[in-house]
Amino acid sequence: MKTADLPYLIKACRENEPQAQQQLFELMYNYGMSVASRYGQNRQETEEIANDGFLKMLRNIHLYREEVPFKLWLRRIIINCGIDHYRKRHAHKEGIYELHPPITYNRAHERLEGEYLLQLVQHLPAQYRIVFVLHVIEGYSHGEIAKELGISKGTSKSNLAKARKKLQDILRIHQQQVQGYGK
Amino acid sequence: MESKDLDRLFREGLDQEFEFEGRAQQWQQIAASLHTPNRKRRFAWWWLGLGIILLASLVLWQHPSKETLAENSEGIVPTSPLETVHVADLNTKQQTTQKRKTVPEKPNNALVMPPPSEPVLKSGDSPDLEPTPARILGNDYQLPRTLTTLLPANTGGIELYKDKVYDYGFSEQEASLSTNLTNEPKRALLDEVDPLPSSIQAPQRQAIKLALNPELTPTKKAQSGSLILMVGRQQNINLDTAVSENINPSFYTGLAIRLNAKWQGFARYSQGDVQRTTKQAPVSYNIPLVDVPIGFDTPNQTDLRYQRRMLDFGLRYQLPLGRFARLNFQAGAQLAQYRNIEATYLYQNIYQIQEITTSLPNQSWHLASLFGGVSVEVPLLPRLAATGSYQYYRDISKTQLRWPNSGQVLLGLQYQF
Repeated sequence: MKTADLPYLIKACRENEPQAQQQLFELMYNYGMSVASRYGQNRQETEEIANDGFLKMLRNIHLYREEVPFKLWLRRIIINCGIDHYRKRHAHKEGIYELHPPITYNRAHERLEGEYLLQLVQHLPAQYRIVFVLHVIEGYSHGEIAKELGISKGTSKSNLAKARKKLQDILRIHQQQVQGYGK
Repeated sequence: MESKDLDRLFREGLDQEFEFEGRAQQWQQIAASLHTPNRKRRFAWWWLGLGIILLASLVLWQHPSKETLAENSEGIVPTSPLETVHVADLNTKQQTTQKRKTVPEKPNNALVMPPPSEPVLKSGDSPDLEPTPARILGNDYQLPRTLTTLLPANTGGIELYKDKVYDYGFSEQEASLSTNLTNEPKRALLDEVDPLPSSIQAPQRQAIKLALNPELTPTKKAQSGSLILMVGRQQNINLDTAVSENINPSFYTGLAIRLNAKWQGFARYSQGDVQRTTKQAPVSYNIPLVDVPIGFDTPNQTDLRYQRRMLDFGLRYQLPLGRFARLNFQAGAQLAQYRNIEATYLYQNIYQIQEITTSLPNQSWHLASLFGGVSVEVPLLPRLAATGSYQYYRDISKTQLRWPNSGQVLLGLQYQF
């Protein structure tokens, strides 16, 4: 399936053709999961967020306007699903630090590939992760983040600073391991 | 590492498309949700049937006649020694006289009246005093039955009595006579036989009348204070074109108390799940706005789902409707409580669609609406009636969720104790 087929797929999905819906899902699957993975703590949460996003995409396909790039439209849907997921699952746990298993280092991580960086972000506590992703990756301002998450601007800035510090600490350990590896 | 370097590192590292596995399984889940039609609860007819069976069982379990008479005649059952007597038939063909008192002969007299005072009949008495079956219609008509009752006698023993028989049965051959046995002749008959023999006391007099014609209005004393149990199903009717609803029928139950012949006070409880969608501004319905996204003022569509509990209380005025039914006019107020409120706000413009789902605080019991309506009661059994009613609700909430106009149709049963 190619991206060039997208307009035909969208048109067929508007007519509720099951095959077209599946093909559109297959076409957008990796992209949607990649966006969702920034908001999910693990594979299960990522799937939940992505499934919600794809479902909304297919149910509201009649609301899509061609002036907007489709991937951008889908991305906004999945971001909102990620925010909803955070509000339902993690917002009440603010202040409670979740324990994560330590990240095991291996040589594939030497070049700080994207998947490794994704793991690092998923390792952050939920309230730090969502602020970091919305600000750094999606470009939301602190005011916008505060409105979306129902927190204050100060809390948003504080959580971003803590997220950065945690990531910097992990990367420093990573650097030390790279330098000491094989020695 | 500087913050901006860190940000750039993660932005470049994460803003790419990764490969994931498991799409087939995920598609199955999505397809199942996508293609599942809205399941509407079907009306559980068997619930209504069960309720009818239970109420009917309750009615049939109660012993008829004497207990009922006792209740309606202020606790006094006519236990005076009674004797079947001979009465003239409708055609006044032949009048059989016996050595006992008879009621005054009347053309349509089908009433068997007790003698004013007669000695207790005991078995083994003189044959002259042996009662014979009463004849109501025609010379050759024999009563299909006579009621025999064991009652404690004043003498200390148990004696057999022959009760008077209130029976309007007639043989099939005399079908032409049936036209005479309508309510009007009965009432005329009662008027004619009233005054009853003066020796019959007032409670017995009333009991006789009620036994002959249960449709007579009970005495005022018996009427007021009686409790009425109501059960049934109700269905909301949406009268607001700006709102679409998905409210399943729900059960209601309640109690009414008869204040006098015409007035009743009642209270009725029901609960159920509600889903309402509107494209109007939420403020019109006192729906709070939460987490409005940047660039939007008001959602394009608001969807509410919540559980509500309702308590209606009011007064109703009863009028007879034809011969067998009753018409009620009722009015009152409704208290309501809303719980587990979930709101979904849909914001849409040319660039994006955003859907915000949030939980709203529960709303405690408050005066929600005033209502008025009409209902019709159709008696099924002496104490059981089927009811159908329509009520219009006008919401008067100031700060709680409000739905200005709505109606309800209620169908149910009521049982009077």
